[in-house]
Amino acid sequence: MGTNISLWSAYDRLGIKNRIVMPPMSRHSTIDHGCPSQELADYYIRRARAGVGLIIIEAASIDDNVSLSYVGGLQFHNKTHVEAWRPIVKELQEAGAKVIIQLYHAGRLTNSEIAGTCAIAPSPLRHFPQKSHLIKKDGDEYVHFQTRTKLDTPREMTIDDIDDVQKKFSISAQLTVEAGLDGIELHGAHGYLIHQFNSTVTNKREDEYGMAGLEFKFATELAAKCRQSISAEKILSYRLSLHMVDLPFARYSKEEMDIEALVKRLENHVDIFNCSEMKAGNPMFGADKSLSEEVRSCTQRSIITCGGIGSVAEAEKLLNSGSSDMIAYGRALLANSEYIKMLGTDNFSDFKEYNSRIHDAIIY
Amino acid sequence: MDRDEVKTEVRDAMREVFNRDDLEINDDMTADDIEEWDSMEHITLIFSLESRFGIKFKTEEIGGIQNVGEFINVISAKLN
Repeated sequence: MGTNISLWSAYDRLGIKNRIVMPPMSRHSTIDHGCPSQELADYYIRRARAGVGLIIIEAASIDDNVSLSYVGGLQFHNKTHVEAWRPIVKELQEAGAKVIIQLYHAGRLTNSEIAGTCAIAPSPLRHFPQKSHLIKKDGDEYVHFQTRTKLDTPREMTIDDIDDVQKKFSISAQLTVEAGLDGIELHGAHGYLIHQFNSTVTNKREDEYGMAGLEFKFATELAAKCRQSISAEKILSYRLSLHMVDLPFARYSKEEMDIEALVKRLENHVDIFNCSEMKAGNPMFGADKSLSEEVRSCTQRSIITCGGIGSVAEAEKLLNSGSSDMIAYGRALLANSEYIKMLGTDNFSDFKEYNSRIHDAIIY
Repeated sequence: MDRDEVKTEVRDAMREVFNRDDLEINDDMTADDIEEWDSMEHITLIFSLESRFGIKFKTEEIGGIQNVGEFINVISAKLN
């Protein structure tokens, strides 16, 4: 356990210049089937130059249809995406940041207007009727915030579907190497496809990809295949959370999602567990430990903690508790491109409070 | 305990959690109707209801609750 770790100290284990992470936050600013717009590139470059140590580029889908959750969402699955990202990645790295990209699949959190076909998921269960950034209420109906149409009741994935999705993830992972990225993150959180496979709430399958035996076969096979695609030298991060886009009040229950069993299955393939918490450091709903503490209790792999972290003192308390190795600043960094400089100088005179209506519409 | 009795107990729990002694509730009420009802207070409310009624909500039940009326329905079903 660390005793006096500074937020600014290098994280030598992964060659990162400090402990500060920019977590993946979807901006939907793309051109030409999921390539980054110039505004999006500039947004990342500004934050790298301000001192972020590790940038995790926002969720990119692994195909141009069923894995997409958003209109205008980022994609990463072909040579055009590689060529679009290569110069941006180089510039981010020249600014001193390590850069990885999050790969995701929507699972049931999409609809046919976006995916062009019926959504797929471990089990044919429609999303929970809860509002979020993605799901809005229109009269009595829950609709996607962009299309204003209902989200699908998904089709249950066949074994061929599972194989196809895993292959697409592997190809995308392999392409990240060509783009010069330092690694990937698998989006196993927030109720998207991988998360859907890892909870009894969303996975009712009775085959080998079900929850019996706690094998977490889908996530484990996926991590192993992606590791093979990127090689041992690159970073493989796995994001996890208890809460889902459509289930903000998920209660921790070993019977529903056994975090220890999941982490044990994954740790041979994973360098980082990126823990997304409702409020970093607070116990999970229904548990006596935070998610990061729970993960730390069963692995010595690197841990990122994210979730409403404010001051340097709060961040360093988490670092020195031993539960976290790196700290992610989300909303503060969305609203303030120079936020890391503000933290460094302790001068917040220009600080802007995050406001979803402003900062989800305009990219600074 | 009939539904009206459950409703009264839910109202009292909400008055306590949201610190609003005069709060009246109806079945269609949601978090949008009460300024103090944020995500942290929602969890406090769930704990308070579980303690008052001696029940435990499953995750899937929590995920399906859209308004106060559904809280009352789920609690009533669990008590009976």
